[in-house]
Amino acid sequence: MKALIKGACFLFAVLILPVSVFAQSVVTGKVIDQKGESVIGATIKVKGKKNVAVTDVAGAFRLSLSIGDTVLCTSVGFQAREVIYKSAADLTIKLTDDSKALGEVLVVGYKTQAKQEITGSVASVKMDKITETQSAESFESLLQGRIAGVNIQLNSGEPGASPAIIIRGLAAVSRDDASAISEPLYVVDGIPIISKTSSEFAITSTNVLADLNPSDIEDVVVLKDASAAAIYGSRAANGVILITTKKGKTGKPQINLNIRTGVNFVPQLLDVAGGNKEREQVTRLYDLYAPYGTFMPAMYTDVTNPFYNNSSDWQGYLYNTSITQDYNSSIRGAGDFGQYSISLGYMDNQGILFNTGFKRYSTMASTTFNALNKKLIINNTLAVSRTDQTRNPGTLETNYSSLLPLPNDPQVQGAEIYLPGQNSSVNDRVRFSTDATLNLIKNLSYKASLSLEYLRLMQDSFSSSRRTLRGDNKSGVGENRNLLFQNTLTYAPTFGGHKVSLLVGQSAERLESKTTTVNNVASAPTLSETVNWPIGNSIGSSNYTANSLMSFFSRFDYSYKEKYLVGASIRTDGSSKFGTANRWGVFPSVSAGWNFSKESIFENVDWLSSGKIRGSYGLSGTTWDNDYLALGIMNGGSLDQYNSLIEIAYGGVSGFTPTWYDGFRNENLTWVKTSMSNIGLDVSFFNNKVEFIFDAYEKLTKGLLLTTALPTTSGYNEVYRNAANVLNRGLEFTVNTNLNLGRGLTWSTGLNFAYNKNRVISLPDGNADIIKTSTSGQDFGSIVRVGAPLNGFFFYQSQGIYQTESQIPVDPKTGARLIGLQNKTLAVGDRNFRDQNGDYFINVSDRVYSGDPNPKWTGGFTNDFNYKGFGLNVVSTFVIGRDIVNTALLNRLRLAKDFAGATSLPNFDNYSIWEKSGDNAKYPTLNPWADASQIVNYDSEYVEDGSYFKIKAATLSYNFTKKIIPRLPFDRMRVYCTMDNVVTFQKYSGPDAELVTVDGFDNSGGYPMRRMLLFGVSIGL
Amino acid sequence: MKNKVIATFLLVLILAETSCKKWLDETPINTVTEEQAWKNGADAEGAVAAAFAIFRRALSGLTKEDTPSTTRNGSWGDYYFWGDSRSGDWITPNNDGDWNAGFQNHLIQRTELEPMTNWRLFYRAIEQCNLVLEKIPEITDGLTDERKAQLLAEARFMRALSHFYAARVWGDIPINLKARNVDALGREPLNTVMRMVVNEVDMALPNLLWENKGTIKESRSRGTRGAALALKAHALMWLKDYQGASDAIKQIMDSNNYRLATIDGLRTMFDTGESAEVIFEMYYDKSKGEYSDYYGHIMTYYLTNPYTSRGELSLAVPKSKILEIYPDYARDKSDKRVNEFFQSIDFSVSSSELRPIFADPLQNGERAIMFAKFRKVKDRTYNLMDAPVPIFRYADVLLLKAEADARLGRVSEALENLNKVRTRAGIPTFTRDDAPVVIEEVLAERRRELIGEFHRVYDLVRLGRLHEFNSYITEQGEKDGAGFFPVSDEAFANNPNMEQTYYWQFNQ
Repeated sequence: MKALIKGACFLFAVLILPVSVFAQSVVTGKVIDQKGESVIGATIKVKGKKNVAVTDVAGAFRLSLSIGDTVLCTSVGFQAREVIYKSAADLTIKLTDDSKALGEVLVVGYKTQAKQEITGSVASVKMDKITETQSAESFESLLQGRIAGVNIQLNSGEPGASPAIIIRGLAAVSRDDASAISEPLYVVDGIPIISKTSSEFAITSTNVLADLNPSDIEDVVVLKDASAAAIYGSRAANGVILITTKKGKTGKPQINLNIRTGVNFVPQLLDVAGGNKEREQVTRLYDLYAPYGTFMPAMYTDVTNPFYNNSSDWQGYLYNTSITQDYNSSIRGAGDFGQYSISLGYMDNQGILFNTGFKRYSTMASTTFNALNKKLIINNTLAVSRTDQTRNPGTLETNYSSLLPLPNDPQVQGAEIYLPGQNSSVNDRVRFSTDATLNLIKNLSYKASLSLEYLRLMQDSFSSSRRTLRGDNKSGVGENRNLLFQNTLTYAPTFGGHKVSLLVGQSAERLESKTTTVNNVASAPTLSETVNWPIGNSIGSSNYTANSLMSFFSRFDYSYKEKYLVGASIRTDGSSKFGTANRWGVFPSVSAGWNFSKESIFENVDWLSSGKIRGSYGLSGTTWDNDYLALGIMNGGSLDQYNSLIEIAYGGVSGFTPTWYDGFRNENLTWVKTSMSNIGLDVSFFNNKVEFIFDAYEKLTKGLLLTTALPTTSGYNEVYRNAANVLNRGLEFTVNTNLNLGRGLTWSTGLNFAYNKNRVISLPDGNADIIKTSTSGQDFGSIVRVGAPLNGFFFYQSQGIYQTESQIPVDPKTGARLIGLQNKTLAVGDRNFRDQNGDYFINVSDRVYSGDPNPKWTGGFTNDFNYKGFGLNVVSTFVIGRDIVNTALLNRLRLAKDFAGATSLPNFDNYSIWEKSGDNAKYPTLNPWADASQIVNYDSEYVEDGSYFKIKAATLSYNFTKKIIPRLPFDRMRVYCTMDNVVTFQKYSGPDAELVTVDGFDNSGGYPMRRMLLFGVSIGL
Repeated sequence: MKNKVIATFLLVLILAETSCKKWLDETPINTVTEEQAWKNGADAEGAVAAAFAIFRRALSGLTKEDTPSTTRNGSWGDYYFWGDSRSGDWITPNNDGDWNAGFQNHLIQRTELEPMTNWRLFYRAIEQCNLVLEKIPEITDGLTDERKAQLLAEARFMRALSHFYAARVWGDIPINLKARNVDALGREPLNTVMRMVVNEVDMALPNLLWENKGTIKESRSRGTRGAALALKAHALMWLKDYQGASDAIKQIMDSNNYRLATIDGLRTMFDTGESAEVIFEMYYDKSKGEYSDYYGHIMTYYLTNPYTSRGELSLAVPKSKILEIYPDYARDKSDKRVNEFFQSIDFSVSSSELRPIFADPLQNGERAIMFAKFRKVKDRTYNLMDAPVPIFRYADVLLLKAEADARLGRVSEALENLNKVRTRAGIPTFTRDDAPVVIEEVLAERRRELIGEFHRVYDLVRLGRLHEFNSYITEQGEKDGAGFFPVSDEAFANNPNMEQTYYWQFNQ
């Protein structure tokens, strides 16, 4: 022990004392990279001696050396290099970039692994360059289009909205959740974090991951296949996203500042017939269809009234150019003592829609201490963040009639037409984790880590109604606490060409959630965002849930001469969500790889840099949100709507009954099990200038939870069973090139595209179709059917429009004409739906499968040009082969009797609408007075091709360095300009083919995606 | 040093192993799990009470809270629709379409009537009893053997009663005597159900008390020996085992525990349930918080201002029908029940005041006489109802015995019991001694005595005579099952063994 302390003191002394004490001759030198630029903070050691030096900002160092000394030069991001000091001249050491080398190391489950030894399907994205010039609320949107098979869709342009991430195809089934998706597991610095809150406990709808400042992230690794993910066991079936935060690097403290401001422009909005055009359209509809004695509202006839003589652009009034500010600063450093990293971030993203926005305050501190002569390494991380999302209390209507004056019109005198109110959602997260690694003996290390995470969600909202003169206040708090304790033991010896790595570990985790909400309806609006309890007019509730997880896991990797690779892992998870009988699940995986380029036959093949074939198979799982589903939940009753105890007590005695909906004790309920097989090929050519990655996978998800109705005689309504199986098969391609075009011009590209085919294999109740319906009975128009992709559209099949009476079918047996929906007598100009079952009656049984909302191809294309200090970076994403429904248009074309003046109208000239016989129209008659509107939900005519190609971001930057401007007061300064959401090429007739729900509907209440022009400067001190 | 570290590490592992089992036992704090719910005497008491509470809810009818396939916000007091509305005696003065459809036996397509075809809540009461019978025998903590036997007997009684009540409404019904029974149960013939009811009652009887603890209402709203015997007698009447029914009721009479109230005592019985005439009733009490408001209690639909906030009558017995049912009143106003059961309200008084009640109960004429057998405190500002819902009472079983005895040819015995009820009503004793006439008179007396108490339709259906009184039902229709309610669509979900009542396969 004493010796250890002495050693530590000695090392410390070495750092502080001038090295000249031991000097024979002081040599100056320089460390440069491949491009000849100086490397800052590189460590130079003399082998066998204690001499150490660190390069300064110019890459220079001073070191006492004698001829014949071996000098070891190391720097993070570069390969270590040994140089023998031969002559008395100045020493220049050239380092080669590590990231392009085979020696790249990735964080995988519970350990790191050299990239060339990885046998699973693992992809990584370095975030530093991305976050430096792009501003985003959450890192997920920055990953869009970067990894093959990771489909990220931004379904809404609302600041703070959650993107949908689906890795290798959708594998989530639900009867009543329109947008059920299969969520991956998120792990930050080895700690699984809370990435979402189950619907029952979601007080705010802000993206929970938006409180992770993307600028704090070093890299993101996605474990796509089961062999990589199975070590995360019961939560890994939908893939695992591993996030590594930035740490300090050796050398002098790195101080970074990144200041940027963006202007958010309003994109193309809905087309509106303004002013006279609206008046003309309404007049035309009245002329054509109005029944005798029906007259237009005065606002259309009273042309002289200035109140109605407007051409108001409501969208223009409520959508406005807004500003985004994003500031990040950090100080990081490292040395023999360990490392430190402290960062601060502030983002204020104003929404383009009135009264919306998102703010983030974040700070993160991470330190590492080396003790006992690096035998003990202690890490501490503390991250504190707050996000603050502002929204309108309800949906803000933006399509009032253009004839009505805008609220800023002097005639209206400031009257508010939209619902006044506030809704603020605040998420606070505190993450603290500490771990200690003890290197017990050579190649054997033990690591214990403890993590505490606290996530608080708060929402306060207030709205008042001018019509009823009542105010609503709502306040809610949700608390989520996550405690994790994990222990791992790693043994990684190397002997000869044999390299073995064995990991065993254990982890225990407990997640608690609690909510408290109160709301009231006051008889008079109070301008309070908190709840003031009026007497006898208050409702509050609270809820609690918790689950715990206990796991044991092990991973074994073996490689022989880095040529033949074998890996296996096993994890067993015990979850409190299961009954005692069925508590543990086992998740094994095996994988193998062959670095064929290392075989002797390829020894002299210059063009092949590396080549690997790999294959894997493994099992992983998922559970579900309801923590107590399997336990048989009892119900003590609740007050009825009149505050009577009638459902609680009988004769003053109260007791428990089963919960009739989901309380059937269900010992058989078990993990959703996913088995995935994967084969892959990684090759790179021409000294890694061209890299090609290919993967093919089959992912079979078995036992997805679904309810089945129980016979009424059991007393219970339904029971959850592991009943649905879904198969995803796909191919993934990635091509990366890295070309030096000469004269300082480099061009690198990253192209990836993935094909996925999704199919339902089995369903409960004898594979009965599931027509998705919300709990309140609203039909979503989606079907889950065996043999078809998930959530296919279940629509009436349009065959155009009846042009003549003779086209309307007549039953030859009875002579009766086909009857339309809602018993309508069909007429010319009506929609011609196919009578699928031939009963001469169009009703729900005539709906058929009419489209697949799951994208077939997804991908992205990145281009990076660098010329001297200039950089141009263009990121594109695309989706090919997806059906989406233009619900927004459908809703706007459906006119009811009182349509006039109620909303704005689309410009009918832009749509081919039937008016008279012979019109070759796409949309049927708009007759608002028809007994049944011909604009029908679930009309296959509104299914459109949802493919798009989107230039997501383009960045132009210039990098100032000391080399270019020697008098630059900083080490480095980059100025940049980024255009976000540049342009979308699509066939879709709506505004944006990406802004649709996971199940393929263009939600008309959606928030358009702003186009942002960002200017920023990033400074390194 | 190294050894210490390794020892610590091993210790941590061992601790982790041992705490592992506890770590994974996560139980909710906002409710209990099945494992926690059956621990002690209080749990047992609560569970049995809960079975009675579910049955009480079942009588008022299911709502969309109970099953999403129905759209009804609140229950209407379905026991009236099952047991009274189709008797031909009722009208809806404001011509409500749903209520008319109910009177006319159009029970399927009306969305508000559809929930009445769903027996789900009866089977919930049955399942609760099944769980009680499975779980309570294992409980020893805070539960004496004697009390345990009583609770089990009560659960058995309630399970039998739920089957019995459902069988009267739907005819052939599935029998479920097993907890967590998710088998696709088919319908059993009505007689099988009734025989099961009789057997179950016989098993329960030895452990049931004549009186439970507390007031009459507290005692007799739970399982008692009298309630079980009344249930047995009713079931035996359906089985045409008149001797058995007569014997069961004789036991009730011999207990001397029950007696007819005076005519003035009827108010106490119907308003508070605290009457020696009560045999079994559903517990309601405002002071205990167990009441129903706008929804759930048929009695709010019978009444208007001055008893509730309603301005108009929803349900009524027309004057001509009253005079037909109560011939003695028509002749000389002798039948005191008319005065007790009907009232005429002065509708000319503003609805913002408590409306006065006319002295003559029939003053309002054909369509505006209030059925006022069940009342509440006069207060037009709220609908709060807490009158107990009667299930069996002494007059009911006396008349039932009279019918059984008459059918067995014991006319004098029959007349004795019939005349007890007649005497109380203030009408002359009945003296004819030919059995068919006596049987007919007993039936008429049951109609007079029990009007609006959810017995009339069951009496008629039991005898196959509903078509005589309800012009919308034919004799053949009744043979095909028109007297019973159709089975709801929901009962067919995941149950291939379910069958629709023959009549309702063709009459929607």
